[in-house]
Amino acid sequence: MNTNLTKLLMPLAALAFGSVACDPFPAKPGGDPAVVRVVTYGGASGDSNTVETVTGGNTVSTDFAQLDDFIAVHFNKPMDGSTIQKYPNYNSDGTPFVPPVGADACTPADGLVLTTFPAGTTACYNPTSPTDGGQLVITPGDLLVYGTTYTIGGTVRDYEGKALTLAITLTVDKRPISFGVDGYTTKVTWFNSPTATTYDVLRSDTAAGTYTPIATGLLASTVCTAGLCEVLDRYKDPETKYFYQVKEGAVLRPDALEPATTRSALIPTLGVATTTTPPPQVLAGIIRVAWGSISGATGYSLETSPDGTTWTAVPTMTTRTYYDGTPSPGTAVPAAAGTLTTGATYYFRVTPVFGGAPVGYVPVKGVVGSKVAP
Amino acid sequence: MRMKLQRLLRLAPLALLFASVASAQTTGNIIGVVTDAQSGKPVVGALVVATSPSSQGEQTAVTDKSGGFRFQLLSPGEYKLATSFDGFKPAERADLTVRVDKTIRANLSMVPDAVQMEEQVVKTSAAPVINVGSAESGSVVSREFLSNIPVGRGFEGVAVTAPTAQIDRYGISFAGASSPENGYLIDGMNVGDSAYGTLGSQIINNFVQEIDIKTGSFMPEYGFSTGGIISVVSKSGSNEFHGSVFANLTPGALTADAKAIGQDAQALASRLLPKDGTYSADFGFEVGGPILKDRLWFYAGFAPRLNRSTYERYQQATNYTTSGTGAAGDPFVDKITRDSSGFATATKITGSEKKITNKVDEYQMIGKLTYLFNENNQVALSVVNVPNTATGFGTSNAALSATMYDLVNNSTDVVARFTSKLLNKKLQFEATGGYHQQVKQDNPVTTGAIDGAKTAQVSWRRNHDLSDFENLGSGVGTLCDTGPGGLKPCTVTRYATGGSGFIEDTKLSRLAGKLALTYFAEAAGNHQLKAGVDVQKSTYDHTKGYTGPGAIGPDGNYLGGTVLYERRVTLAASTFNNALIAANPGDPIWFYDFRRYGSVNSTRLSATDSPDGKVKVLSESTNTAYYLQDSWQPNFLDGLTFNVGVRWELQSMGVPDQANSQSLSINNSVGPRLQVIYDWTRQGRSKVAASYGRFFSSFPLDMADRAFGDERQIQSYRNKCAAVISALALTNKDALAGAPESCAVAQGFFSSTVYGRYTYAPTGGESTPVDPKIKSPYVDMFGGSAEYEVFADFSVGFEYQGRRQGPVIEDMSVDDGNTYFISNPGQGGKFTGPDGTVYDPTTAVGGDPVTGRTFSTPFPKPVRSYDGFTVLAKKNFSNNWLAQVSYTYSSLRGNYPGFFRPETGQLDPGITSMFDLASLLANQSGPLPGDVPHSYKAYGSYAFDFGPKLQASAGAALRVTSGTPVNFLIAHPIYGSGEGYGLPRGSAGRTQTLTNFDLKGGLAYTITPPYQVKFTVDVFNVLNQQTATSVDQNWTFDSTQPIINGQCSSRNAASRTNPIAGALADCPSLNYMRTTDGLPVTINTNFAKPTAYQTPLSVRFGLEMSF
Repeated sequence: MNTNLTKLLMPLAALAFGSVACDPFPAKPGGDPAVVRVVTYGGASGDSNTVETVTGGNTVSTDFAQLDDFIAVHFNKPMDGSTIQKYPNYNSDGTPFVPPVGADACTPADGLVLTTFPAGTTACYNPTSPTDGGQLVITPGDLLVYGTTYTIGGTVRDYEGKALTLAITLTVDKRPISFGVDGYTTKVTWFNSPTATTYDVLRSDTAAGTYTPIATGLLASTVCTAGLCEVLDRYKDPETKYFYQVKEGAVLRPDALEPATTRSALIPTLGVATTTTPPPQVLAGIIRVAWGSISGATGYSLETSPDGTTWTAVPTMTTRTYYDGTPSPGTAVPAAAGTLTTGATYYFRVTPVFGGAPVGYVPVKGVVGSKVAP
Repeated sequence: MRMKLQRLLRLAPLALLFASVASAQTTGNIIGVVTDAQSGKPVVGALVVATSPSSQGEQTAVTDKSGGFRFQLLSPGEYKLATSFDGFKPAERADLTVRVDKTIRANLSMVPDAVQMEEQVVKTSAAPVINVGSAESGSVVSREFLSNIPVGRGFEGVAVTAPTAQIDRYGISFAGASSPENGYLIDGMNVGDSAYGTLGSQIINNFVQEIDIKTGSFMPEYGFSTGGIISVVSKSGSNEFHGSVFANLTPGALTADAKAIGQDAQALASRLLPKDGTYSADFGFEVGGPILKDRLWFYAGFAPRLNRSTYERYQQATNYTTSGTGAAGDPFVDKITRDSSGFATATKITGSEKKITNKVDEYQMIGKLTYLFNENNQVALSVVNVPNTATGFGTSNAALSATMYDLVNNSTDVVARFTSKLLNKKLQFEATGGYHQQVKQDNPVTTGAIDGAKTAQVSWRRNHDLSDFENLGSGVGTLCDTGPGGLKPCTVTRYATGGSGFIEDTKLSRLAGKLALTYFAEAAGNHQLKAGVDVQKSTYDHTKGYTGPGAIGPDGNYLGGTVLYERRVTLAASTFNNALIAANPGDPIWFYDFRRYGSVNSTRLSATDSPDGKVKVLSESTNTAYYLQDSWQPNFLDGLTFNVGVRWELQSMGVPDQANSQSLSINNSVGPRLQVIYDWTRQGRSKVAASYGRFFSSFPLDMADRAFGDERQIQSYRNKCAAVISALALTNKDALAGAPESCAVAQGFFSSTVYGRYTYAPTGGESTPVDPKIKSPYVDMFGGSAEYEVFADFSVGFEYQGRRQGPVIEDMSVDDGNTYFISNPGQGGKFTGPDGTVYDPTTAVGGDPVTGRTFSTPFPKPVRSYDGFTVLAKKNFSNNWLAQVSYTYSSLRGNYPGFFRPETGQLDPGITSMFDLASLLANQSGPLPGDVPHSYKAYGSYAFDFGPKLQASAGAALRVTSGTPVNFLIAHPIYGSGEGYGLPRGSAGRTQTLTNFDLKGGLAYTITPPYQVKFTVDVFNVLNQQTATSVDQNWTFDSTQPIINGQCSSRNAASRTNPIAGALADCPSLNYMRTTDGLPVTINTNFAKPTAYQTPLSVRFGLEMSF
């Protein structure tokens, strides 16, 4: 029966029988359940190189770098959460459900088969995604291991009882090295190899240039935590790209060469403080600090100092100009940090921020200038 | 002979008849034909005279070549027609009731002189009552109905008696529309609130002659409405002095106790004390009569209305038990003692009670003059003034200083109207002018030591011990001591301290004028051509602000008061200044100061211009309409009428004295109106009709005030201000409210390449861009009906009404709230704003809180589809009784409820949050809040005569309506509680069926005509049914991800004994619902529990002496 006919007949039926009104527009998405995409993440937590990997289809075989947050499997319609997540969030009376001791509320349901994933991997059913149906969110709880294949299988169902057999394969086989740039430091990270005991890290100014060791014999047990290894290469020159390789012991890992175009570390540069540059409405009492744009930076963190030693940070800014001092009355420029003492020298330094909160931020260099207050 | 006369009358053939849509919004019409009772042929040239106590002088007409006559522009009331012609005996009929804007047919038959009969004056049978001139939907409420049926004292509430009418939050809605979409007319002039579209002037029923309720498909002379039209005609004088002195009293002592509205975890409550000084009363007089007989009449009335509601505000402690263990390993053992409804029970703390009386004083004043120059020219002037003051308290969950109010609302209406008939009455001219004004003042209240105007308000958002704010009652004992598991029996949430908060002063005015010309012509039948223009110029002078001391901003601007919102620190301390690092995350160390009007780089809020920090916006709107309509009765089929017309509406709205302000201009609103009516009896006793029309929205000025009026605000986070408030002891809240600036701003936001870092950050735009190609919003109305007069004054019929929503105008954001624009959701095209930004009203962009993925989703097209079938029987008052019975089955589906958001109460026509953000669009489709499938209405009265001096009357009103849809509302991370739909709209079922049964009895004693004393008793809600009229639809107050297209096995959760458990069982997706942080949501323990009940049984006594 088509919808229009239903709409016509329902009121007539109600008139005839005085029945309770039915909803002629039930919100019941039909069709068979299917996987519309799998979302994974590459890069370590806080790494500016975090990249989303999106694949589609139920039977997925994909390569990815690492999974330190979660894998999201998006369905085309709401699913029966009980076939994905072993325990509901609530008791039948609405009070929160507390799983048995040692268990997690997001323990995978019996029908959901997660192969190779670490013990303790959770599988939460999240009944929505912005444009589709529900989503299965797998949280491994730890970094996955390089060279390992993980599979998401089993049978889940939608609320109409229709079954969906999952066959998703994910292999950690690429990009063992990841770069992060925070200030004047390059953070080199890679996945720990199950067979490695030591690592060497090498650096070059060009992608095809000569790689010089900057650290050798790094003990995996020292530089690697929870499957992720990390070293910091500090005090780099501004606006310079660096390229890195990692050797497992003495053997160069064949896939350790980072593509130079996007994954190299670009060290930012800074400008010089001035009181004379535009805008002209800047009046006496103000120091203006400006600096150049840093590619990829989502913000800048500036610090001020009266002596070049003790630094005070101001909130992260998205702009590249900072004023300090107290404006003269009537000026449109407001005060920022406070009163400046005439004749005193003030120091400023600024570091770029990539991504969200500057975790791992190490402002080790970059006294870009000082200025005598007017 | 007598038999022969009857036969003659039965056989009287019908000459060409015509119907009419004539005129005007305060008068009615009579049409008819005069025929030869013997031959059935039309009598040409007969004189027909209409007289009425309601009409000055006589109205005369001469029958045309078809024997037809018509009387236009008749004041509503009882009329008598008399006709005479040489060679015929005189004929008359005296039982005609003329209603506002209705056309009745009254044919006359004349017996030739040659016929011998006993009676010298021919009287025809009872007059027909069916409005054969129009296919519009609606009903008319007569004086008899108002006198004999138990109804409220104001005319708007009476409108609920019409089929398809329902009560919504702001008034009476019709056929699925929202009440602010209605048109409200008193004596033909718009008395709607210019800012919000609600009713702007209210007069009591004693001053009302008749109420015309149009629920749809009205002709082009009506417009600026996508709802219905409530048109009131006030009383006029007459050639005799008539009037009354009246008094009505609803004593609280005879009002049943109201059900208490429970709410978990609140240590403050209030309850009405109906027997402790609570009452509602009005008394006054009205008088009308001649100043010059048949020339100049007057009418005047005065009536104070007083309402007193005494409440007891008291403290209470939640009851709990120390017994019970719960399931093993389950720490969530609910030790709270609950009643059968699931609400936590509580014990009143003696010594904490405080009585507060809410007062409303209103004075109703009306005056009217009617002057008849001659039979063809008349002028009328009416003035209505209703000053109103209200004082009291609003909520128990606040210190008295933060909730006391003092409101002034004064409405004034002046209407002048001139009518003229020219060219031997073939041309009619009507001119109406009027002025409507509303002045509202919101005065801060000084309570104790707190100066309401000079003190900011602080909104405490976390759970607090009540003792943090108030001294506990002397009887507290151990009631508030911490219970098992840390249970705190005396906590409050969202408590407010300090001053009055938001305050506003408003002056609304509207200058309106109407001109109409009506011409009667003949061409293939009879035509009544009408053309008119309707112009309204409205202004909204709005001063708004927040109480509290001002501060000088960083650029020297004066920043006004604010509301400080307590906010818990949940973000990593390292993200912020060192000053904000909390020793214990979760300590209440911030106050979110985001309610300050102002901007950081303008001079708009200078101390000189606005010393109290208020924002003043003067917005204007001009509505213009031109219309042309023709009512054609073709000569090829008697009884057939075509009404054809078109109305062109234009509206411009803006804030003209503000630089760079945007504006709304709509000039493409051309709406056709078509009606076909057929009277198969050709006697005015039947009607089958069909109609179609396109009706356009007219937006009140709130949109200009808020969207174009530079409603910028500034925000900051303030530190806990340890010098004023210790973090945990919270010892001196009022000090914070009195001097919020003493608490340093801990976190500024704003930085720019020009201005560096500010103390405050700006929010909101200066003026919202408008799509230059914006389409006019409209509703298509269509329907059909049939009606038949079974016997005198009694008709039965059925009707179908359909409505489909066209485009709407709303504000939207494609970047999750950073910028907004106004366009047609889902239907507008891309456009470039004045700042160069490209806006796209077809695609919204948001972020998935789980994966962080950016997603785009189309803005949905607005849908509001109403289908309603009504069966109706009505009996006009005659032979001592009247009745009106109707049943309506209807369906209202879609995603657009109208001018306000019923779930949150947000009344911002055209700029609600409905289409604002991509993240708000989920699950909006379903049964709309006005969806009431079944509606039974029955009204009736009977008058008993006990001799010439004593009469009694009895009346009853029964209204049974289905419950309204209940949603699973969730909080939105930016917009807050109740803004999102966790599951598709209406998934939680419905509220319970509501039954209202009222009775009225009257006893009248005639001292000596015309002096009569009448005593009445109205008993409202006779069965004292206190069914919930609304329930708490918030599933959670957490910021939550909606479950798009989530399914439920049944939609009955709201009607289950345990709604939460029922919802989890019916809608299993809810078991897995998560917050935007990915956590299980905290279910609102009050979900689906009542937030309001029907008003309990009450009794109103009335005493009236009339003459």
